[in-house]
Amino acid sequence: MNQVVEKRQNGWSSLWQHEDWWAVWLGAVVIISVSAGFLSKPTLPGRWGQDGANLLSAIPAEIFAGILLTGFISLLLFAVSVSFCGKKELSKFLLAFPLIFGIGIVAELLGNYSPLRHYGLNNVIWALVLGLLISNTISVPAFVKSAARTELYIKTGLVLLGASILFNRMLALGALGLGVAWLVTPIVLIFMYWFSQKYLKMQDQRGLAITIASATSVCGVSAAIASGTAANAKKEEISLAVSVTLIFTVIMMVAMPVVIRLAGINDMVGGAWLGGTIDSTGAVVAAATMLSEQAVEVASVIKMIQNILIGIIAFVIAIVWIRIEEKGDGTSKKEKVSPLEIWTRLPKFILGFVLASLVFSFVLPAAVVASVSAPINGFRDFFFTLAFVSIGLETNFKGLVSLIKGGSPVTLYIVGQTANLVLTLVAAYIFFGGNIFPLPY
Amino acid sequence: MQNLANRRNKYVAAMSWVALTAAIIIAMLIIAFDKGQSAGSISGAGDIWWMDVPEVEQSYRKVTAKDNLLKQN
Repeated sequence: MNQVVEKRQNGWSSLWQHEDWWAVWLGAVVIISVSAGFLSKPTLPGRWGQDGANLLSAIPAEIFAGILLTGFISLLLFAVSVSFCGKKELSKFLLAFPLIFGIGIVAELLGNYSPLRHYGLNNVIWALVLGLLISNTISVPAFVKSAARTELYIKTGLVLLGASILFNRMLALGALGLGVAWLVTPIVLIFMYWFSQKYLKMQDQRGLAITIASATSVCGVSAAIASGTAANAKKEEISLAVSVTLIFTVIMMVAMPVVIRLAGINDMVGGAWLGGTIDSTGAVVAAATMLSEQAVEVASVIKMIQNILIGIIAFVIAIVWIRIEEKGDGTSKKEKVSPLEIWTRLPKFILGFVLASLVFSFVLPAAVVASVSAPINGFRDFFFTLAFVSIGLETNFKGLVSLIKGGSPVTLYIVGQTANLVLTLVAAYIFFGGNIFPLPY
Repeated sequence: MQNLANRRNKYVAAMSWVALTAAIIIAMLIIAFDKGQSAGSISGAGDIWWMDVPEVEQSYRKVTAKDNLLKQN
């Protein structure tokens, strides 16, 4: 029976019967449609709560039609995939998707409230919170679950994310930038994973361990989504990594500029330190703004270079995880696998993710990349919102709390972030202190 | 030996709960008193990817322009 299933999965039919492949096709459809001018930026609620913008100005009557069109396009895209992967589910999906979409729009509205968004409470977090609140207070009707397609939304979003991983920008600060962003990051990632297995004994939570390690060492939420999906981590594990990251990012964003000033660290080194350690890009910029313009320049470019690394890290994690065979009892073992087996088990969205990155880095002219980025990022962001609504609807609080019961995930984050802070500060002094290497300008 | 390991595990679990609770309280105080100066800021912790943050593109252009100027000289 297994052989039959295996054979079927390896055949050409998997190209249109697997959700994994559909993430690639849907991502390609969005990218091509945007590039050809058929698709523009999705219409979603705007920012409010600042400069006199109130709730009503975030969602004026004029954009209602645009929001409905965004919903219709999303419905159409994902319905095609559902119709090929499981026709029986299609009618339930068509019925339930508007509900998921509606929750997503509310999450977008709440996530665009500027005073709270500044502290990380964005659309993705609100999507998770709303989903959790609904599923843990009122029972979600069974048919709604057929539209809660976390994997499809998240993987399609990740293929679109590939379009903003621009390898041609990695040398923006020369070797000095790479020294801080690309040298320390893998060291911290490997150290954290090793620590989780050796000392915290997280053998039954490998997915959670690598997701927290990536979120801490690379770029927070996006890294948690990309590496967690590549490692086939559970939905609750990705949610937990995102939540822990968010809490500590708020503290680091405010505390690190104060520490830099009190310790008399110069703005070049300080900027490099902020860029290499704070998880969210927006928080990096907000923290560096408290120092100086020079700190903003160094910090944000370091963060951009570090963001690029997530493409490589997600790819490597996907390959490594193919070799780890998960057993039913929660344990796992490493096994030797042939190249054919690697191809069969490789999460296919990774191919779309890497291909999109290579095309946008080295094939398309910079002007084209600049013009299509906003619409592609708009859809990517909204698909992540739909994914986190789905995660919330399928997660119960008990499951989430049980993950942190032993304290290992929080300990892993604290130990890893401490190592990250120390190593990045040393690297920032070496590469941007002006004593060992000449400064770029 | 086993007892020692169990006690260490309980200690780690207790300490991590204390750390997490402290972090949540500090984060809530920061938000409540707006210590991160949200007013007037274009970007913040909610902007999770570099393309969502206009300052990153501006900084990249400035750094590239400075680099080109240095190369010309």
